[in-house]
Amino acid sequence: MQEEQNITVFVKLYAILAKYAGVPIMHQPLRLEIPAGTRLLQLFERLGIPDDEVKTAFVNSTMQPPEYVLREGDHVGIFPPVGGGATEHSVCGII
Amino acid sequence: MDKILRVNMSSQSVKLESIPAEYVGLGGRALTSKIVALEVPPLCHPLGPENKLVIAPGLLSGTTAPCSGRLSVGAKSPLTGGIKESNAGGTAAQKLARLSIAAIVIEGQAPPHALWNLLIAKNKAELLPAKNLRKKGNYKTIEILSKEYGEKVSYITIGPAGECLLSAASVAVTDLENRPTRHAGRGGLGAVMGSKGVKAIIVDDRGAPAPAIKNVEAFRQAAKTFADALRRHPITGTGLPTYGTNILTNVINESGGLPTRNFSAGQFEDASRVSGEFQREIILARGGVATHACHRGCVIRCSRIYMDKNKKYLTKGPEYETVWANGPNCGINDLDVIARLDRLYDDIGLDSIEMGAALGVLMQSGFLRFGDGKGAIKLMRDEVGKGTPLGRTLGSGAAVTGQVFGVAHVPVVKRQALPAYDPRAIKGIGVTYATSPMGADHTAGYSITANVLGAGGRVDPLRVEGQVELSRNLQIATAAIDSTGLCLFVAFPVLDDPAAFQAIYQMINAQYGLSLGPDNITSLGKAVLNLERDFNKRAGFAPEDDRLPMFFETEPLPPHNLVFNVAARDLDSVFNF
Ligand code: SF4
Repeated sequence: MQEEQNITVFVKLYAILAKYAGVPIMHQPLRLEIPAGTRLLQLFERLGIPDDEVKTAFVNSTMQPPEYVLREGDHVGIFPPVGGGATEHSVCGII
Repeated sequence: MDKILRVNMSSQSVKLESIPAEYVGLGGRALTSKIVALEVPPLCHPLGPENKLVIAPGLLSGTTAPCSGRLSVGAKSPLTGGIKESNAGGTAAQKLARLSIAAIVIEGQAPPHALWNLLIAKNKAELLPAKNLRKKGNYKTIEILSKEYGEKVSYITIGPAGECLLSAASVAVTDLENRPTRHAGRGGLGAVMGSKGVKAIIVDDRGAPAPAIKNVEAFRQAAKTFADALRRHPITGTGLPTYGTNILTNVINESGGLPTRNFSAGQFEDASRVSGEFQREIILARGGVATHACHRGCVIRCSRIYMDKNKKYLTKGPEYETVWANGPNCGINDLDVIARLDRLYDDIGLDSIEMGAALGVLMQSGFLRFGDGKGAIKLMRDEVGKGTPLGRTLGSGAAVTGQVFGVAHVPVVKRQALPAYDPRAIKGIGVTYATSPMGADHTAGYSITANVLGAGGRVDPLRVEGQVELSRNLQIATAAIDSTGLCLFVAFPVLDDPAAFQAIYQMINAQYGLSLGPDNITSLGKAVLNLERDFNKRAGFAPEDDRLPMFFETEPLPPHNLVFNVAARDLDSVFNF
């Protein structure tokens, strides 16, 4: 059996989500050791952020879905709906 | 709103006339653009007597429709040489609507060095000498005028920049605290007002009734639906009221599209130090106001009040665009420096985007170091504020500054500076910058909605696919919203929630006794864009003007290391509708 490896990722929580890091504002990212193969969704869980509070996550400046599998050295930025809007494809009423 | 107030500055005469048939049913941008397109010779000099300054409230202004107090200001732009509509909050639009004035049209030109105030009240409109206000800042101007007219009226004013006819000069509108903090900033319309010889417009609606509503109950229902939708949507209900527009600094920085040091990178290492989250902490710690409306009846309340270190009023909470232009774009990481610049821009009467971009270009030339906040403040206060030759150069915008200082890296389209989103990392906004008849303008077709914020669907910001269509649809929708007097921020719920969109035309229908549907709104948007593009064509613009500066196609932007690669023929198809 292969031994489980850990990877290091850097995480920033924005707006009201900063409270899950115990600070009002994060100027520096959290450095986290997580098991290889961890998905964004599991990272949210580990940080104690309820699913419906996360709306957008950027990994290395590109938006990624909750199923994204994290890699060594990834920089993750997580936003609540206030900054990220809706995740579902929404109907555009006006055009 | 059935009157046009014509002010002829050559003869100093004022005439209140019934609205001519061709302007009936129009408001805001639809009306300013129509009057400019029909009455201003496209080849005239923007600062000459043939140009006209048109000021119009929107169709819903003055009513209880939420967020309906936006004011449109239009003319041929001294900055772009094309048609311009610039839009401001503040209290004036609602008062003009109550006075039943669909538009003020200021035409002709006062003799050199003459300066006038225009007083508009119920049953009265007259020009009064304004010599005592010459070269006064907007704050001082309001202080002096308030002694005579009080704090309950609205003031539309220009500062020294407008009097100096600088191409980055703004038109200021007072807010609920009677401060000149809301500006029609873009395109140098303050210089057009200055060229006419008008310093201030005093709008006194005492004794004037609210606009008549044909179907009161239907209006009330639609307004309620609309307000509920605004409160329910995460951006207009939570994000903007909590953090203001500066909520965007961290979001756009994370996306890699925050133009840094004159558009040389897409991320700023100190973004969190100028972010909306940090601004909120500062505001609350100093006893400022973190959630504030720029006019009565706004339920979003994205505005804020910013105190200095001594807890004294300094300025409004600087908006995201101001923070970006004068912060990351200049390598400046200090919100107090940005707030002091914001105060100077409001006082001198300048577009905070154009000035930040001009500073970025100046820094690129090496004349000033990137990050030199003190130097930037000094330049604004002592050079631009005093109208020195260096100050006039900067106050003429980024294009002129680049030309005078020999900089090749100048982020402008149609000579207007690009706002706070890099088109290499957020491609939809690049299409809008390139093609909007206004010059580079984020509000003209705010693709950040679908490109980054996930409002109104999703379009991958890094790919070419879907960007032209996105920009086209948003430009049409925006031209229509800008005609209603509604704040553009209502677009977030409107894009996501069919009930919110419906409520807009239901409010218009109830007010005017009409039966407009969604198609009429779309046609209105298209008609406005067609008029504006036709004016620009007659003013000498060609498809080649609908392009970004070439460095966006040749210099990859970190961190994505992409260039702007929407093809020219695709840009030329934006207005195929
Ligand atoms: S949302 Fe902001 S800018 Fe728009 S009307 Fe309200 S306070 Fe003014």
